[in-house]
Amino acid sequence: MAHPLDGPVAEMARRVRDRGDPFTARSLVEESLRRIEALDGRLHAFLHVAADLARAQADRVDAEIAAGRDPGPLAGVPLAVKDNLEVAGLPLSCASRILAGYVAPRDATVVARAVAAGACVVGKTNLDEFAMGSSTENSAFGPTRNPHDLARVPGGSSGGSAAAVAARLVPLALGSDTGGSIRQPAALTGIVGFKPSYGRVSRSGLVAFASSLDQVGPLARTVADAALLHAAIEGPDPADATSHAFEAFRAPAPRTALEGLRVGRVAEFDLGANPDPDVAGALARARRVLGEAGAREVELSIPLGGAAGIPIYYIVAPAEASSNLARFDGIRYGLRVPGEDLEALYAATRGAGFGPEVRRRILVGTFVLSAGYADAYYKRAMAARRALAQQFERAFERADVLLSATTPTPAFRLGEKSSDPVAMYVCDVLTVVANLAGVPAISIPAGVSATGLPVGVQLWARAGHDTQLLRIAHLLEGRLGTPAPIPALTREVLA
Amino acid sequence: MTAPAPRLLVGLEVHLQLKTRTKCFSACPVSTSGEPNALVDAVVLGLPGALPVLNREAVRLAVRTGLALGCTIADVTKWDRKNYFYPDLPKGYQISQYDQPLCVEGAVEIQDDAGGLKRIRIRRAHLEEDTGKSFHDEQGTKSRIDFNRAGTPLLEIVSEPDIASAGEAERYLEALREIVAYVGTSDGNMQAGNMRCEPNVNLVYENGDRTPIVEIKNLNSVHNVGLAIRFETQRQSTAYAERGETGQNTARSTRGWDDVQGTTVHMRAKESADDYRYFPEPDLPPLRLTRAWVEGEREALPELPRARRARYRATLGLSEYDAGVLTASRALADWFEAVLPAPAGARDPKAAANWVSTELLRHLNESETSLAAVGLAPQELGELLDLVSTGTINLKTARDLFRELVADGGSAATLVKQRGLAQVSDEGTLETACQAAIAGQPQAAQEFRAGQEKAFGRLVGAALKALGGKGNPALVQATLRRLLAAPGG
Amino acid sequence: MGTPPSTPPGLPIDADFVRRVATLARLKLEEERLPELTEQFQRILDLVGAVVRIEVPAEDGSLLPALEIGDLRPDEPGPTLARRDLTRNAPAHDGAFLVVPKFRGDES
Repeated sequence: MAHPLDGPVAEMARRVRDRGDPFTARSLVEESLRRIEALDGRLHAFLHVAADLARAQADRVDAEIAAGRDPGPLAGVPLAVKDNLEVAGLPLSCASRILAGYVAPRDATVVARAVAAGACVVGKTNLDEFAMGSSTENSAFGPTRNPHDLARVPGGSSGGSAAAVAARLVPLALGSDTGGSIRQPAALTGIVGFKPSYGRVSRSGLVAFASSLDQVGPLARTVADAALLHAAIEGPDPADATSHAFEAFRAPAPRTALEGLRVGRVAEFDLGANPDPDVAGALARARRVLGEAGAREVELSIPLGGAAGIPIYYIVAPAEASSNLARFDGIRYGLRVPGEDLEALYAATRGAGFGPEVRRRILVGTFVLSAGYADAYYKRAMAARRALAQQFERAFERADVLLSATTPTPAFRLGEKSSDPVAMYVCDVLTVVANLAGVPAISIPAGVSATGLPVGVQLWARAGHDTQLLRIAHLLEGRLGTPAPIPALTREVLA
Repeated sequence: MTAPAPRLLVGLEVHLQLKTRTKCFSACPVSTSGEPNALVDAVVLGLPGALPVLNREAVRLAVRTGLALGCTIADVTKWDRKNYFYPDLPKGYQISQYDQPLCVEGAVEIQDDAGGLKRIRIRRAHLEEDTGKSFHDEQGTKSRIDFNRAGTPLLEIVSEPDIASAGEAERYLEALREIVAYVGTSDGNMQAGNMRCEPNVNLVYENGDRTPIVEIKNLNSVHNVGLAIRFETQRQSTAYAERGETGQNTARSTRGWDDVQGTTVHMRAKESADDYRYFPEPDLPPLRLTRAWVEGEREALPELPRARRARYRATLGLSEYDAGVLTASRALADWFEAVLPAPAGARDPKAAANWVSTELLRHLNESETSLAAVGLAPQELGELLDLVSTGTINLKTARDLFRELVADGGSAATLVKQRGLAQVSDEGTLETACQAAIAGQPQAAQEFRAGQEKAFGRLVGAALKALGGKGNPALVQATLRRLLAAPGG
Repeated sequence: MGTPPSTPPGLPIDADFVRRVATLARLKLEEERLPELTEQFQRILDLVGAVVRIEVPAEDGSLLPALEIGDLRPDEPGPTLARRDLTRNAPAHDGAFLVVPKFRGDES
């Protein structure tokens, strides 16, 4: 009989909240901790396991219930938090040596909201350093492995969160997505990863990588589970001036059924002449399934939506990152490498504290903002973003959602791309434009390759249509019948 | 043959601390005192994950100041990041405004060196956050940083290089201080550190040569600003005369004011003249200011000091000097005007001005009380003035009463009545008293009749004494003269 | 904002160029890694240089909807950071101040 931890989140929380049911928050947390203990040595999904905190939170939830109060829709649900989000009293590393010893003084808004809904934080998960990367190989503390094949990457930058959910260590995880960092690892590990509309979820307490692109979102086994976490954390936050309520929908109201749904097929999202057969196959199947359910395909063009997005992204993101990471200077917190004078201290601290990918992006970002180049690069890239956003708006007049692959291939091997940064960058082609345009997008599992590696498909919607997107994704998920696969190594500990 | 003196060009960059309760981009409280690093929060310190949130009152005070300086307020304004590395700059960038500042194109009127009026144009004024403060060990190898000041809202006001002398610079700064004190947006006090000034100085010669522009830092008083400009004028003209230094062959530089030596000293140029890499602040949306709101702020402005002084001279007939004394503070000017009733003209403004600028101010100074704490209300002074102007009491009585009223308040008319302080103006009583005085001072009477005016005073004193100090002095004098002049008197 | 570029984007760059950018970014580079880094930098610039071929709208503007004065934070004091949270994370402090190597006293 399956443990409630492997069932729907709504169900496990319901059992916890039911005073008549002996099942407790504490028992959910203990099972999660047991699995982490058993498996994480091989996966390295977690940088810090917060057993004391999780138990204390679980006990509090159980006490609330005993006292007749409702602790919330996520009562007792173990939650993994990507280690670029603050959890008060826990270390915050961003997988970087430059934050050695740093302890967060407060909770990120999303963490506080999730905990207020009853969730229990079991630990901080591994990531590419400062969220810069697509494989979690850029972590200063070693990579996370894909639970479906330990020789392969789980994707990035939210690789730890994705692996933790895929391996059934936790049912829910928080990640961040700047250019695909929730969706891509979700696709590579066979789970659901959702990036909300920009401004939908608070960034207060998320260590900023690219301020105009970052969003916090859920990773989970099903869309319903992801939607529950999203509902608990979303909404404007006075501490984040870029978060806002979205205006009421323009008529007509967006469709929430598959029947009559207009599904955009964007020419620029095409996988090209030699697509990976598993990815192409999953995508074709998703199209067919939607067609059978009464949806109709609309052919569209978003001229800047394809390969053109890569140069725009790799100008804007490093530029903002170079500024956001200037605060890591050895003065007020984190690593300090002594120097003969102040300038030596800065250079030595930042040179030693940041890994190679972060240093590369800081250099690129500094360059594209510098005098004489800012107009040609940064300003132009930002103008191109506005053009891209307008193109998406026009596309969504003719389609309710867009359908595409999430990644060009299933998970690649550890070390396969890490020596060539540019090769890594171009893999982001199917995900970065959603961040550039600020639109919501979600990856759902769509089967496995011949060798058992998961593949995902991605749905996109107009900015502000998050609820509707989740609804359509839930319906497609049901029709596809390809739930998140259980990794072999997890089966060992589930007995 | 001496060449004609070059023209001095001075542009002033002034940073004003705005009087908000919290910092520009976070709810961390602002205060002038406190232990180091106590007035900080995650946003102020630039902790990872912290985001800025703009303070509504900082915007309002900035706009209010801009309006008082005659500026145009932007329809849409935005924030930008100014990126550089410095220990007192927590985030490694300062949130400031680059190409869409809050205020543009204002002006301040000052007196030029010849005593005429001159407009100093203001190019722009924008809102930004302050940095922390650093302290350097005299001996030893360490510096210390206190971030209490970091994040405080500053209004940076940039003038055009219209200032032509050290005196004009000082008067510009005094005018700024007066205006911001009037509108209550800043204390504008350089010594207290809530107004900072960096002059940009160079000389223009008749032949077109210009000396390189020098920016002067580390000035902590208006007086020092004047001294520094005078010193720079001398130094630059010498450098030009002796070494031919012009803006063509010599770079701009920054010099620090050395208060002890009374000189400016060259500062090592900042490394590679930092490229600030300005870009729009992605964490803050732009701000749209409706014309209705801006006009509301404009209407809420008090009458500004210069306009007020002009009104006092024109409609109240006060002298420039008196107008100046009365408008030294907005509170004092308000108090003075409250002495004058409507309809205008019912009380003599000059008399009121005189009493406020002498008796009241002397009392405030001697007793070290503030205007708010004084026991007398403006209308009560007015009542006292009426008693004098109607001849009910004499000036001496009035002054005595004043001293009592400033401490305890009360009604002058009531006291006069209760104590029978009304001065005697009755002819018969006066005549009797004067005759008694003449009779009692035969020597003085004789000297006066012999032509010695001075003796008259003794007779007046005696008459007043006989009247218990309550004689109407003018009538007493007239009566005495009449009696003394009469034959056989 | 800024003068027109003196070199077109993607032009061959050299190690000196990378060193200058690294100085601006306060990043100490290992000299032996410099050739590899220069080559990577060049390839990244080649990749992003494509941005010049993108047709962009002339008018400027923010991606974020503008706020109005009433949307802004009221001037109400909030909590300050506990001293413990400052000192436990500070690399060097004397209990009150943060301590750094002595630097020039010129305020910017």
